Amino acid sequence: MSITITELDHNVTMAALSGRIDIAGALAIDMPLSLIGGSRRAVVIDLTGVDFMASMGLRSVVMCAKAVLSKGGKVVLLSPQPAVLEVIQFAGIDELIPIHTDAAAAMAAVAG
Amino acid sequence: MLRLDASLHGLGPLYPWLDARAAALGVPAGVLARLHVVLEEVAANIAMHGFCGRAAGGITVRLGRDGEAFIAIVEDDGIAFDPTAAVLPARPAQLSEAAIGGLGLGLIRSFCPDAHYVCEAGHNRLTLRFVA
Repeated sequence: MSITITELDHNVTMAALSGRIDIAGALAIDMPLSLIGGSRRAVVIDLTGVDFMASMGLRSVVMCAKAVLSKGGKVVLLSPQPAVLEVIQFAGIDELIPIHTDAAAAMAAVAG
Repeated sequence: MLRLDASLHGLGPLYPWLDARAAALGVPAGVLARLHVVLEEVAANIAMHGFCGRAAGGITVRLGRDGEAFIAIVEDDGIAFDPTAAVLPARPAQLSEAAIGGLGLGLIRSFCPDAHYVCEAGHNRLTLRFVA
């Protein structure tokens, strides 16, 4: 599991997660995502490279999104793989956090 | 059979054991993906809540085949808890209302509707049946 954080134009922050976000992975992403949630207002969480995620990882993502929203910011998810999308949908999170499959559209959705 | 320490840091061996056992039994990829999610949720629940205020305990996991179905059995001696009957948090309408906990129980029931829990003499056994 790894997390790569990139600062883009228009104050957009891209947090790209990859690998397995199992329990150990969830514990590893929790602090970096908390820091982003507490300090950024335009966030794309890129799930393209994530091949497994259950509720522990999803909880970290939701907490980050809630923190961004509480400041009046925006957050979207980018390109979850089918197995990860299924978890997101069964948990009902797809109705709460927009999901994009195009990186440019995802960045535009949170910018400004 | 796999025996795990009932702590979040003790669950790591679950995944490679599950992959190896699933390969031996011929578990289809779609069922294996659900097994990973459900068994992680069940084991994490036990690790986080099952032994609160008690001495550390263990979790045992077994996986077998019954015709076209695959049966996972998770056992522990922690606090009795029936994940098939516990009340689920209401599905939030907005992110600001979303409960941080409770996601896992919903995933267990969505991914494995055929689950059966018994608690006998302080011993919890959850039987999870998956069909391809």
